Amino acid sequence: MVRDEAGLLRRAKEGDHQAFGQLVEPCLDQAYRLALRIVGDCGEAEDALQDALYNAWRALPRFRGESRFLTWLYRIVWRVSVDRLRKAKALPVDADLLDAAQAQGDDAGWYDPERSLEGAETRREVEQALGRLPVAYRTALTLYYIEGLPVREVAQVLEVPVGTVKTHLHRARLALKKELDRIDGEKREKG
Amino acid sequence: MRSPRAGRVTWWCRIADRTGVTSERPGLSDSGETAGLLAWLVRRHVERCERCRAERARWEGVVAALKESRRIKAPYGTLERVFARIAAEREAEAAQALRPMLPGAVQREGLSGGWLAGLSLASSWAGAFLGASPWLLGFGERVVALTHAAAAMWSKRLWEEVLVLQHLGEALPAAAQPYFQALWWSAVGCSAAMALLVIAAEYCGSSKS
Repeated sequence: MVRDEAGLLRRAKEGDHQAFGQLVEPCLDQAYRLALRIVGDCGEAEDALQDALYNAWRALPRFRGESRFLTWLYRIVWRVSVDRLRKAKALPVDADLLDAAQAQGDDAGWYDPERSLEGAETRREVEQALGRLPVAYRTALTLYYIEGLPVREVAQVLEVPVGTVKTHLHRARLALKKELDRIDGEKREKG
Repeated sequence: MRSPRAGRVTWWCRIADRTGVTSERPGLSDSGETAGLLAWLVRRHVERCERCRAERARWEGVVAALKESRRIKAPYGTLERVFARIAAEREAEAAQALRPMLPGAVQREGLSGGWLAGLSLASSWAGAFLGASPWLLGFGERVVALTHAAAAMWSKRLWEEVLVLQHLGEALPAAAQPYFQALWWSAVGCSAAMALLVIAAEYCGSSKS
């Protein structure tokens, strides 16, 4: 069934919270993942998502439709999460927490145990390395590589020029590779 | 995830790393990062260079591992909790709008109720006193009868008001309930006072006769 986003948006702007619910429901998982990447804690991410959705509801009449609704929501999630991170001074993303969050996702839907076991170690290393990156870098990587947003939309979310996003991505890749090499080195030392 | 060691790093390899061609999103033609003739040349190099191919394969592994996190779902009931917050905020806003109005209403109701109750009480005692004095026979009965009628009328009217208020109160937001309850109990108190006055007037009338 084709979703009438314009219609839902109009109704939501008029104060219909059911329409707002239908509008944000398909974006919830993406928004939560972004919040989780930024704040690095499941509880904090849930609170950040709720704050972001509430802020989105309040700011909806000012949404002019110049960007996609999802991009606009991402921008609010980014602002709220970064604010929370500044206040809470949260630790970098914990790979164990992400595992737990993924397990919840598995319970709720599709799950391939074989693939999960094979990739678990790699995933853990990558998550660990990503969690050690500065917040702007890991957000850029998350939006670009995981959520598949084009560079232009990543720039809209982070409210920076396109060139800055490209620089972020380049530096983030270098930093991630460096972290992965370091983790690999540590592993070899132990082994 | 081990870094590739094979092959010599050339100028083109460094350009490929720098322009992000070795770390393009798998299966993506529009990365927004790399376009034009330089990108074409770099891609051509990556296809031929063992080191760059290995670097790209490694990056594809990293991206695949990152994409595993796409299974993470938002906690159940997030949206419901947001709706509850929106509803609570709407209630609070409605209560905020009522707040300046309510204390005034309570004051007015309290004043009129108290004034009526006091007047009735004073009339009743005056009637009883006058009715009891031997040199004012007849006048006391009239005052008692008048008080009785007035109190009965006001008591009935007040009770109707109480019922109307109760219905109104059910429609009020939660934050306005304490104000409403104060108003309601004041009305109930006045009704009870009126009922007592009726009983007192009845008693005075019967004892006189």
